Amino acid sequence: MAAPTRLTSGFTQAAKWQPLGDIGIPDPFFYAYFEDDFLPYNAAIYTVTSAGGGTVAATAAKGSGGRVLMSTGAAANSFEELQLPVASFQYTAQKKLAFLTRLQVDNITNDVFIAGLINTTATPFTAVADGIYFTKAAASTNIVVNVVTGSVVIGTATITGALTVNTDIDLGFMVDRLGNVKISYGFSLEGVRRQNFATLVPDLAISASALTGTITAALLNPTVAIGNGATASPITGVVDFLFAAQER
Amino acid sequence: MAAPTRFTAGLTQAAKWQPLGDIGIPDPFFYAWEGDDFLPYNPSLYTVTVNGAGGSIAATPGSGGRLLFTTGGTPGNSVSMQNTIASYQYTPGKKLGFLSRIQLSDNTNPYGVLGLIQTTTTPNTVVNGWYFSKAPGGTVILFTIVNASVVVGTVTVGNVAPANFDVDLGFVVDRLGNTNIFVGHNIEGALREDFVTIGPTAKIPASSLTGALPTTLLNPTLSLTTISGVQTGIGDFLYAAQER
Repeated sequence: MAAPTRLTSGFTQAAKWQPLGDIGIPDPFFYAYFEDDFLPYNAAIYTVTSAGGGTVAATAAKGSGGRVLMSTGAAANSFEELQLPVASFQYTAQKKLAFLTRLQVDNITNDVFIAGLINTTATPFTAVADGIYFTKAAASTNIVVNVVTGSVVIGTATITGALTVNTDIDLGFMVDRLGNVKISYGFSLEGVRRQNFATLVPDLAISASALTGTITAALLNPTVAIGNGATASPITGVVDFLFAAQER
Repeated sequence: MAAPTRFTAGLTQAAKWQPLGDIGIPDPFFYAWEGDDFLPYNPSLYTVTVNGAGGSIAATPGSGGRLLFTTGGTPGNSVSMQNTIASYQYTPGKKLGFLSRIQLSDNTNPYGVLGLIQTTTTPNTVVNGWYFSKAPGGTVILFTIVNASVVVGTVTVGNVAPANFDVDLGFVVDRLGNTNIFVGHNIEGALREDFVTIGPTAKIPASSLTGALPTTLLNPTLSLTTISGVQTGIGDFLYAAQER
């Protein structure tokens, strides 16, 4: 691994004529974006929805780098959900839209989860009205990517064999300027050390030509929800980071 | 639009000998800075001053994270936001920058101040700072530099944007003490929609200043004041930076 590239006068994405064109740090408004590595976890910036008596809290038990433990109640259909207080991401044709998270669950059969950009909701597992998101159903180990507009699924793709108990998985998508939804998933895809070179991303795509409708223009909210799909025992999930971005 | 440039071994502004020289992420301390896209809005970071019943600043639905400023309905009612502590300071030979994107629901009635000024609950009275302002009922944006309540430089930088229309307002004081001013629609971001207005759009050269630039501690500030009725405005992002 080479040394980092050094641009000791600073660097920026901004053009010379733009307001921050002579400021030598990355332009924070080049994209509108949200990122949280939970270093530390600031509960005040989230809306946490608990159904069934679970908890969401910082944890040091499941790895380093800042992590949040989502523990459901014991009853079936209990869940914990993290969203921002206000939905502020929106797909605009010809502009990129992206989402990324790293999570793990302690039961890959009985758990359910949703991760992605969806409408603001306190019932994420009941119905998603609008969004692009990863979802996993109880009694299955498959992850399904859905593109939903107005409660109608207009595109879908299925990921098989990617989940391992108590093991991180990175789940991300980017809608490119042509409206293709490019999907990335795998172990440690993010960061300096790319431990899994076998799985080169993006692994999947829902091409614009395959969509049966128009991608939603509704305001969307970065969302991670982990639920108890069928078992009488609580489910725990861990989220390592959360990211969403859109081009201005 | 080309693909992003990739530095797959990481990227930093730090020299090899500096503490973060081998850390392959942008050096977070290369400048002292803040950038808040209100994604999400964290009110605990700010001091919000409301003069008049009914005023508020709150997150509002909108693409890219937005704040809604709402004044009370009595003439002179205002709302403003600043950091909890003034932490920016001009040092000769070092850059100082500020940027925000705002819009007004009525582009004539309200007035306000936007920029780096002293910590205050009465932002329309600036003691020290660099700031954009608009007169009550006016449609012209004025940029002013004030040191100890004395105006040392001023320039008219354009007309107020149409109602409900984003405008980016920013300035950078360069290493020579020139203040370069940027005003325009969507001049921030990946898509440069407004190529007609090539920034900077105005300048207050150091040579034209009638006094020294202020060197007191300054606070990023957004404020809105009504001259009649409830007025609203939107803030999309807020940024300030200084070279170390």
